[in-house]
Amino acid sequence: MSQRDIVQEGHYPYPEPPYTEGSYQAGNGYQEAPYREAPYPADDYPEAFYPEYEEPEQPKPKARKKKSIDAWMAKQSTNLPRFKRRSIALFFLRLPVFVPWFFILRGWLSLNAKDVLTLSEADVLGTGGEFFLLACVSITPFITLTGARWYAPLRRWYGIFFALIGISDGTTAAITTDFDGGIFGRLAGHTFLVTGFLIVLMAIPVLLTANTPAQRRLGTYWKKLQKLTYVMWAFLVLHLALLDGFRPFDGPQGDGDPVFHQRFYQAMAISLPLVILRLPPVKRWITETRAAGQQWKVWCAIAPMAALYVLAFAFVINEEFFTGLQVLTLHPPAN
Amino acid sequence: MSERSGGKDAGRNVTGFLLIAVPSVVVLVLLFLAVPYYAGASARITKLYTNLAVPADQALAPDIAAYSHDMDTSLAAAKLDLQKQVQAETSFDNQLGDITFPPAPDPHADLLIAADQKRIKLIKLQMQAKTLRKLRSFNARDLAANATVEEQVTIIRQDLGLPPASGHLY
Repeated sequence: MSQRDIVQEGHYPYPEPPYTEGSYQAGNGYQEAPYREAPYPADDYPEAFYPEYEEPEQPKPKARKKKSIDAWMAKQSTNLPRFKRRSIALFFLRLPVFVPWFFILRGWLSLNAKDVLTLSEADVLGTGGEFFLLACVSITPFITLTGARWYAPLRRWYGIFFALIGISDGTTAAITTDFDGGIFGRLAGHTFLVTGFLIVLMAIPVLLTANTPAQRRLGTYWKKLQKLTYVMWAFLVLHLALLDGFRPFDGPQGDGDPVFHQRFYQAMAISLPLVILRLPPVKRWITETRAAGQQWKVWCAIAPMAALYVLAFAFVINEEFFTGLQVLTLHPPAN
Repeated sequence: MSERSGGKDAGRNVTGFLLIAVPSVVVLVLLFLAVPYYAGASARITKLYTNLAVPADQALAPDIAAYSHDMDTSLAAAKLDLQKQVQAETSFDNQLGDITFPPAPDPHADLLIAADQKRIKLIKLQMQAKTLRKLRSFNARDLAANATVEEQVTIIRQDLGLPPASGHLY
């Protein structure tokens, strides 16, 4: 007797589905699925600039609380009912990507007046690119940490704009900086320039394939290609190490806090928690602790690293605004 | 079977916790060290200023003394002395502009740079003099420009907790 015959005779060949008592009534025909719909459509590009992310196990006891943040964000806004809260929040969180270009625009339009681009373009566009690459790779640990996924699209957004800012940085540097050796010398005349140039080169294919059609075409290769993001991240840290070295800045620059302004230290302070939160045992511990209703333990454990992360990002932003305003007002530093 | 897997999970949990906790403790120590470091920023700014002012004064003192002698004897030598003063002051101003002062002395640093620039402009004008007499005629205006610079220097040094610059410009 074939399996088909058994089913036809009413003998279901598999174990009974785990319907709760009373939920299944014979003869009622169509039965609704016993699970709820997702609060908002899935991210169209869930893995862009985030190749390794795997959906963490959704622990049942706390699942309702985790979803409630996403569900709240998926509702219509009270003040702007035409828009969802998530869309409004994402709109504002997406805006900062234009800040580096806003700062550098006057330098471009004035055709490098007072050598502002020669002296400061790398500080403005380079720091801007650094900020958005680190912001891009921060999204996944944030999801791991909070369980909320409403801001997941920012990963792709920040990644794309990191690449665009990096390309504009490389192009401007190739034209305006004063390193010897022509365009090649300006792009790769020093070891720190080589690492920066390689970051821009790697960003190009990642940028071009950060979309659904490319994802479909490339299939399994797409994920491998997107893993270049991690290579770029490592090269960024190396670039800053070669640029600033391990010592605080010498000379009279700064505001008396040279260690905080050391860009390699900043990148390390930001990267440390992001790397740790990617380790599988750590992710598992966080998921299980949250499932046990002890999220506070996670926050307590991560608090010092989170403080360091915020402090380092504050100084990156400070650098961006300080040098950005110098370019915007055409008052570049003396050296 | 369940006991074995449960024990394994617990082991993993400890690993995960330790991977967060150990770096967090290290970071906590660094943050505690960062507090006194951050509090010492004003002392470091004072040091930055001193590191600029002392060499600038050292460079200017012989040039000013040489000018006092040469303005009566040699026009070319006097002009060379003035040129050296301009170089020393320009270098000081450029480096001073890179220091981010605390709110109190910050506007005075800008005023000092502006006063110095005026003085440099005056000296450059003085350098165009064709005779020693014409050169010396700028001395009174030089002293007035110096007084403006010294006024700002006094305020900055006071705000930074430094003693007055007795006998020196900066």
